[in-house]
Amino acid sequence: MIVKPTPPPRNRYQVGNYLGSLLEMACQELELSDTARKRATDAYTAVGSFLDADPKLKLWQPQIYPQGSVALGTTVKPISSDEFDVDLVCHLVRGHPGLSQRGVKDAVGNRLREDANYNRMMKEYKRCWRLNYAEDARMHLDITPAVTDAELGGTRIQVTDKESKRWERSNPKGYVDWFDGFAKKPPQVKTLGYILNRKTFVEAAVEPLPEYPLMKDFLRRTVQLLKRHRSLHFEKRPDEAPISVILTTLAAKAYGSIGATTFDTEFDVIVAILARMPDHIKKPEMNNGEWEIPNETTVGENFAEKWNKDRRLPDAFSEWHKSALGDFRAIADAPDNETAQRLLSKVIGERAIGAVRNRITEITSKARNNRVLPVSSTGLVGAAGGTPVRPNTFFGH
Amino acid sequence: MARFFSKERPPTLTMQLFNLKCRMPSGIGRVKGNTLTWQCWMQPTPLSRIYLVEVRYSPGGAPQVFIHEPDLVALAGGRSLPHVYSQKPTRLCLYLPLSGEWSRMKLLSETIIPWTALWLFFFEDWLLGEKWNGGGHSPIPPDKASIEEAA
Repeated sequence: MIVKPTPPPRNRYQVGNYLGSLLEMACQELELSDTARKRATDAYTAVGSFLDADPKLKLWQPQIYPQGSVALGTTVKPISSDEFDVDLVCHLVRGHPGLSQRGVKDAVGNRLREDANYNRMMKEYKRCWRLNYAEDARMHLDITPAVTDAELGGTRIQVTDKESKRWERSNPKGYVDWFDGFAKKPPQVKTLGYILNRKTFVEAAVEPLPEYPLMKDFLRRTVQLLKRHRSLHFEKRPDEAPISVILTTLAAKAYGSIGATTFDTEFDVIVAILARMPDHIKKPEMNNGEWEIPNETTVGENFAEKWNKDRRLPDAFSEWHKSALGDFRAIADAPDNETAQRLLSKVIGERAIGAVRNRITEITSKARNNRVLPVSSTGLVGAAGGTPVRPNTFFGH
Repeated sequence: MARFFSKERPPTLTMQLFNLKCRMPSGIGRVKGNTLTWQCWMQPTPLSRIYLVEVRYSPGGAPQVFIHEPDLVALAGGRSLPHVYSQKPTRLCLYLPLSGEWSRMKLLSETIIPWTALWLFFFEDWLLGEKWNGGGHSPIPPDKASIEEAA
């Protein structure tokens, strides 16, 4: 026998970059597909024209546009159903808070009822009218009536609210711009990043990727992952799950607070964002007894408003945050692929991680058949810079 | 390219070892008598564990590839390992005998070694899923099993 070679140390750059590429693929798997997005756009454009065709409503100049995750580009498929939630604003541009908020909600609702289909599909919620397209398109449109907030100006609006029975301030367009301000800045990482380069470990070595994913930046991907982990964590008690706008706002602020810090890998940036999120919650002891996560783009909108009424919510957030941080950190330290895959399924779900694995195997096999699949000097399959594998046929039993 | 010899000669064991060392600088090998022994650690993906691979080769015979660590049979948890000549010690089937994929004219470092990496990649894929996605030939009848030695 010969002397056994020394085992090589774990290469955390490779681990971080590889995880980055897995998570990028997972996000592509989890978000609203182009076809679903097109269906949603067609559906709400039709609703918009229908509202606009009403002579009474037309006076108020109704405009319909997406808000929330569809507007932000941070959609994530729901876990148990395949049904997407498309949040929309029906902004009466010439409307103002001097109008009755109930009256405005009814004006929109009554018009929708005039269409037999909409009438069958609709249901009233706290702030919106929901049109359920579950049967054929697997989505529902939540249409929130709103008027112009002339006092604060800009893109600011005020929306109807069945519970508070008064106009509530909001600024969906301004929020997207605010988020973009953080998102447009790429993170500082030492090594080639797969999320930023839109290439997987294998693809980076063999082929360029299609163009669509280039649309997504780093922060959006992170938000999608956090939302997904949240939904999985609270699958059995969705009432306690921190709402998406809280995760999105805290992630954006945390990302902003990272500043010019340079990280080893993109995966480390995700963990750093996660770690810093609680810093941006105003705690009751420092904030006149109130939990507060302010909407920075208007006045008086507190995303954590419910936390002050339901004590379970701030606790649920802390619990989720601890679990998410633990799970993300553990993935990078997993001793083997099986453990890593099990942890990844906690973050993005069993089905999504299975689909990602299949895609990697597919890309790898394709590169192998085309005789361009590289293997590195430590046996990494699909690592850039390796030598392409010659054809072979696995033989035997 | 112009050839100065009518017959190409197969690489010597020393040349084989030299090329292995160039391809995988962290591996260790030696030539003793008519046999080359090579050991190296391999990792098919950055998230994978590392596997201790041994290649044994004597000209005239087929290169034999073993996975010494960890115990793949134990990892498989009762499932029978695909594409091996023997479960324990775990000896891999990497190429189709007599197909020209491997011949004594070729370098181990350019054939057997990357094929082993690929085998490990598909082994992990198999371990996590159901199927062997690496393709390959179906089992051969036992009386023809010795044919691979001639390759």
